[in-house]
Amino acid sequence: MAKAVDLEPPRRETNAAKEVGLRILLYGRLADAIDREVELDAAEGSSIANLWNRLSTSRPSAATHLQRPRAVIGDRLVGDEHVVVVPERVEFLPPVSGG
Amino acid sequence: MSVIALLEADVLDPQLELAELTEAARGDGAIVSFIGLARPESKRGDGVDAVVLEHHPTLTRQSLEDIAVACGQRFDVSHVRVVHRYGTVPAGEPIVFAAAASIHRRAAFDAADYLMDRLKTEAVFWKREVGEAGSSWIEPTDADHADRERWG
Repeated sequence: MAKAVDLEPPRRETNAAKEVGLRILLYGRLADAIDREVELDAAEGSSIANLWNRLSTSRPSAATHLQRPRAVIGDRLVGDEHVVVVPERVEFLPPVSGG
Repeated sequence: MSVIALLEADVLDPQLELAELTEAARGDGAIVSFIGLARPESKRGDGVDAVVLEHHPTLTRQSLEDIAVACGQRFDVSHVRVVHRYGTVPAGEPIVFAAAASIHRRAAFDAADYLMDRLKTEAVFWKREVGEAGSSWIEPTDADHADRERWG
């Protein structure tokens, strides 16, 4: 069951853009620190960096202990500047353990 | 040249994998295989009941395939075979089978070495040991990364 994260958006986003619901999946340590699946309301046009900042802000312990994870959309790695388009599903991957 | 990279949920039988590779490699002169086992003890000396490997539904298999294909392209081998478990692997059970076949032994040795060095650092898994000390995540060690760097 996805857990909704209700966050105050950064001030510059307030009232500036329509909010959209995004489904975010997390793995490994990230799932431990945050949750395995999160529904996040984000401003339309948010970048991967925006999303990660909001997620990590919601769990300060996660931000302290984790490097910025890699982001995946549609089984493809995307950069921090990638703008998320609803209904894209975003996955955040912490550093891998290897086999 | 054939490349096989498999992700297995429940069972990894190294003897069966080796038998199939041996059958496929008729005419070759060498097979080198490696079996990785779930260790019963952590680096800190705590007892480990199982290793849990979390995987990604598509990227994990893709990472295995990428590594196996790169191995086949890099070395003069006829067959590359990688089989990896995911999920809960009890201590003592096989986690990974990595092997290569070639006409002469050196290529097969190097290929198997390369496979494991890349798998240990790049395969898309998130591993944790579960045992008497609770649950703890495992990361590649500095030695693992140094081994990987040998291949450029």
